[in-house]
Amino acid sequence: MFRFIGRRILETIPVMLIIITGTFFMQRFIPGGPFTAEKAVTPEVLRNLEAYYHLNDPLWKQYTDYVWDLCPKRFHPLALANGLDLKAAFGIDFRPSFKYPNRTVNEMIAAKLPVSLELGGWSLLVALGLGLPLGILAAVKRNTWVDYLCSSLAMTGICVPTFVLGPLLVLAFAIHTGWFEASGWYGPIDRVLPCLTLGNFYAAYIARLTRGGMIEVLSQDYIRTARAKGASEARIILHHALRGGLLPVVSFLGPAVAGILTGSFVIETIFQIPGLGRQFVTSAFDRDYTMVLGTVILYAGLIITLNLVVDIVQVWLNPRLKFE
Amino acid sequence: MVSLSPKDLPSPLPAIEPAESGHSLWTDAWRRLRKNRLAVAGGIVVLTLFLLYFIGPLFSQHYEEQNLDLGASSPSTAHWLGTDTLGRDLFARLLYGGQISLTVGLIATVVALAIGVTYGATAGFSGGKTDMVMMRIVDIMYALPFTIFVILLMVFFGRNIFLLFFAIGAVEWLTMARIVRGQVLSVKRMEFIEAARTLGFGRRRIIFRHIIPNVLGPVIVYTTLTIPSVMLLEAFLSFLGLGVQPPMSSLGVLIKNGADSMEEYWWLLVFPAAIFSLTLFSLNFLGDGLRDALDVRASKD
Repeated sequence: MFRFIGRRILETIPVMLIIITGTFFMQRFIPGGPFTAEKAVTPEVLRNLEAYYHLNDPLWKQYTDYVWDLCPKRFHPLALANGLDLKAAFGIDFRPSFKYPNRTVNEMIAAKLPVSLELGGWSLLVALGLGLPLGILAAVKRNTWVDYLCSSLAMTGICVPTFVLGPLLVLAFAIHTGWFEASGWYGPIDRVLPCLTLGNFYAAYIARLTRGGMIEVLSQDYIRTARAKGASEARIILHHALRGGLLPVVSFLGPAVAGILTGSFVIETIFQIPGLGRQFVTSAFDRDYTMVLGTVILYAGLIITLNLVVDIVQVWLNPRLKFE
Repeated sequence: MVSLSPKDLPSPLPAIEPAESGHSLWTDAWRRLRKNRLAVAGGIVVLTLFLLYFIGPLFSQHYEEQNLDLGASSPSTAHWLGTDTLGRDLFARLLYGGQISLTVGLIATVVALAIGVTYGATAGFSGGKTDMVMMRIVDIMYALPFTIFVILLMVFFGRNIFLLFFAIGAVEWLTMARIVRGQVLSVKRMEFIEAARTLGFGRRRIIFRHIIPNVLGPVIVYTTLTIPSVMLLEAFLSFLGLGVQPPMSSLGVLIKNGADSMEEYWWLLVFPAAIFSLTLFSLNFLGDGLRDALDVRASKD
């Protein structure tokens, strides 16, 4: 088990390096520097700006400096509580923003990321809370109207993507009935529509996967044995079948979390939520490269870490995987 | 799943099995597909939408034709689905947008198909070390957050529609490569391949007559399921303003425009949203039906 975990952690290092290298050279080789769009600046100011952003160094030095700045150098996770400061906690420095020279990307991330994480967390809860019961119900009542209802609900969820569902929900429940606000992120009530919208799509997938996994497990011999021994239906489902039946769901959680994080770009745009996703889209249009790179690398790191956790949970649930 | 071979079962019948009558995989699949009503309905809707998207614009008003005096008008006999704020006919714009969305979906899928099949088949045929290294690369690429990568490409290299094909295709080929490789590996080891080899057939004949037809099923299924996911990604990007750019339009762009003005003009949101979901629905039902029809394992259960 520890060898497996160790190997998986080592594997993430080249992946992170590929991402950092790719993004770094992508932004270095695009036509037009970050300051060409600004109104004309005097050569002295330009020189100062370039010095401030280390653009005068040779390329290899810029690259190695950048990688070094992004490298975790210390480990004080407790410092995160104090305003989510990645530099104080891990020594990760995303450098100053290109667009707002007096703010660092670290500060902007610290201000925006909690909102996105909250949105994502609630959405994941919605996805699991809706998807698992629906899928289990469909599998247990297989080929009855309950199954057909659950399965068609799931299909609807997959075919009505977030950017369709979100505006439609706003139209119906905010503009017409006025139960919710169309946008904003203040009270708990403002969480309802965005989290439902974002969670719904993944709930649909999870329901389908749960149904498939449960149907497969419920047809196994050991379930028949449990039935023969007189175990109650609830015990069979919750105690015997669920562990195996949830395996496909657990392996889907990695992609789901990645999807929820990127999906928040759209949700935050629709509902005007002040999170990192909307900031990313704005920065992309502003060509604020350090901010864009910082967000990409941060999200990539988050997704890769969560994938790692998912893999470990998977092996824990299904020890056969260890040997593959 | 536990699979029992026939000899494990007590056989009430005489031991002689009736010879398989000459149904090919394809006639079998076609028969099964026709029995699946949802899949047939999905197929018919897909065909209708294809025809509408590609032939409709020839007969309808031009999608860019403005009528500023009219402005945004609700659905009427002259404009079936209403007009947008510039007085452009929404129905014509929907047809044109659908055409672009579908084209992106098809071309990006072909790109993904070409890369995925070549890569997967090469890995599967070579086997050994080559296979291991190639699939390791795929594993590593799976870990990359690709949606973000596509967004990054669109940000840095301008919002070019050809880049969009390439970027989406480059994302979607990984699963295809895995499927093809797994299929090639398992078919390669089967007895009928050995039989063909014993009969002295050449390598070329074995690949084209025996292996490829058996790999084709999953590839077709996965292709039909890739088209909706590509269209979804395109619409996602267009919604963020990073995909198809005006004056071109796609379903994602229309949904975005509709969402921006839904408080005054509901039809600008509702119709594009409905047609987009309908397209995804029918493609997914068709894909699911094809999977059930072509999945050899499921059919023998």
